[in-house]
Amino acid sequence: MPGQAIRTERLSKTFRGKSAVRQVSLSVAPGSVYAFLGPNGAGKSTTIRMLLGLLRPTEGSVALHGMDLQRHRLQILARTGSLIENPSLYAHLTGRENLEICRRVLGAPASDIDRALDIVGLQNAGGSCVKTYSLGMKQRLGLAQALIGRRDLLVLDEPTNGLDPAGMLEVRSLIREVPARHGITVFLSTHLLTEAEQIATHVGILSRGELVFQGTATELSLRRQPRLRIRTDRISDAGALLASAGWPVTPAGESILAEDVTAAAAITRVLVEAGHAVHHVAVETASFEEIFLSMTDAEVL
Amino acid sequence: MSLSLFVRVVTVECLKLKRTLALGMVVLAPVTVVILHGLILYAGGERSVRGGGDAWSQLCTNSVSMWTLLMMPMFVTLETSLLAGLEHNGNWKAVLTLPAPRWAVYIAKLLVAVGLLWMAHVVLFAGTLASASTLRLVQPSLKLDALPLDPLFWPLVSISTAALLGLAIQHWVSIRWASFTAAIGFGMFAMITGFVFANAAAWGRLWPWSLAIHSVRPNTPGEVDLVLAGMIGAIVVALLGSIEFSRRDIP
Repeated sequence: MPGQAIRTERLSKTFRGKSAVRQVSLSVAPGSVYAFLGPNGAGKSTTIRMLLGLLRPTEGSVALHGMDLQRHRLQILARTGSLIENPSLYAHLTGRENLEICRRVLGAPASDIDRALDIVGLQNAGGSCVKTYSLGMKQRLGLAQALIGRRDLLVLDEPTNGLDPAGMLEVRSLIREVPARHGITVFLSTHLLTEAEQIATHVGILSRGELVFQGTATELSLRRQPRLRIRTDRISDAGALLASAGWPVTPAGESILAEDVTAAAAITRVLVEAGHAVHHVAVETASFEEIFLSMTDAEVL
Repeated sequence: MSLSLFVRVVTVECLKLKRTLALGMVVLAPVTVVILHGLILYAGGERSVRGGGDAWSQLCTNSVSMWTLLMMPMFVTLETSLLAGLEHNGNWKAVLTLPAPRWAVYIAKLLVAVGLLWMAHVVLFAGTLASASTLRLVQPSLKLDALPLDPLFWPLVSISTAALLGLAIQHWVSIRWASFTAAIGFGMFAMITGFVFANAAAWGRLWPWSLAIHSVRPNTPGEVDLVLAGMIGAIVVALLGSIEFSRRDIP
């Protein structure tokens, strides 16, 4: 897939014998918003640093915009804007001066600064020193830095980290708008499932350094198979009865789960006729969190 | 990489100096030396002149010596640490994801540090002249009528070049370790050893932080030219430092 915005092959990184990222093969289509999900410590930041050439892979390769990162680093970085965790800003300079730093290195026109400030809604704050900015404003200025020049790809590592709910909404709405309005691919790492659900067209899930899922958000949703949750007075007998009647079930604490949701009425009738007191029968859909947890073995999100 | 990109990277490093202590130090450090020696000469210079001394030579020698032995090592340590400190605060990841070669960033920062040192020398030169001109008015007995530039100009030129090796090493240390304390500690070690070896005529002459003071002393024929040694040493250290910086992982 030479036209991919990002393509890695068997990307691995080891720190002092400890493996942080293992055999990760990413494929990010142009124009997509790709959410790179994983619990804290899964290896997302390490992968992103390898994508941007900050860390050298122990094994594997990285290609951005169809070019090998090692051979075409400068051409790639000219087309790739990034925001890694907290924005890198010089507090003693104004917002405009911070953008000027990027503009000069990129050789972009002076008008890019106004354009970027306009996109992130900081037109009126550009002349103030960054030390007077709120965290949300700093994050928006960080995004503006990433938008200076002719960027085809934005790589954002936890861009809403440390923001209050209003700041999170602001930044998410910006990220959602960017691909639609400016035709830029967005690769976004996050440990927040809601964030991924709200803005991503594609999802990759990293667990303990390994990519355990990669596909469209729709493909991930398909894993949210509905099931029937049943509670009776004698749960183990009920499970055995339903299994013998041809409905395989799995125990789930005080309940049992049946996969055939179309048989809700028939299952209820069989249980009642066998003398069970049926307390609860309901169709449930696995939450995004449950899918994520089952894939990553994470305990707490 | 084009020359134009390198020039842009250097101008970016200059822009980062705006409103910083690093820029203020260019004036503060040499002016402190100038004022101190101006006051010393004002208070006690008359006695020296009566004994046959030359107040202007005394002012030049004392200012240059104090600058070279004490103030310059501290200045170099502080400036390189402040310049590197601008990035150690989590900014490397942004600097190094801009489309400029890493070596260019490293060398640009080094050039800015060199520029700051040379600017401080210009301030020291101008300040010493201004101090002598003021003393001529307020203390005519010092006989500061003629102010030949040679005793001030050439020593400063020698120091400006011989000090480059120590500056290049200190620059690498400041960039290599994020800790401000480590950089300052190394600088203090350099200053003290430089001070100790200032009077070690043999191998002490080639100690990186003693080169500058030895460079203003007369050179015995056959001895290494310390100005040249400082310059070549600085180029070698800068090259090695930029190679190491280019290969480093940025966590």
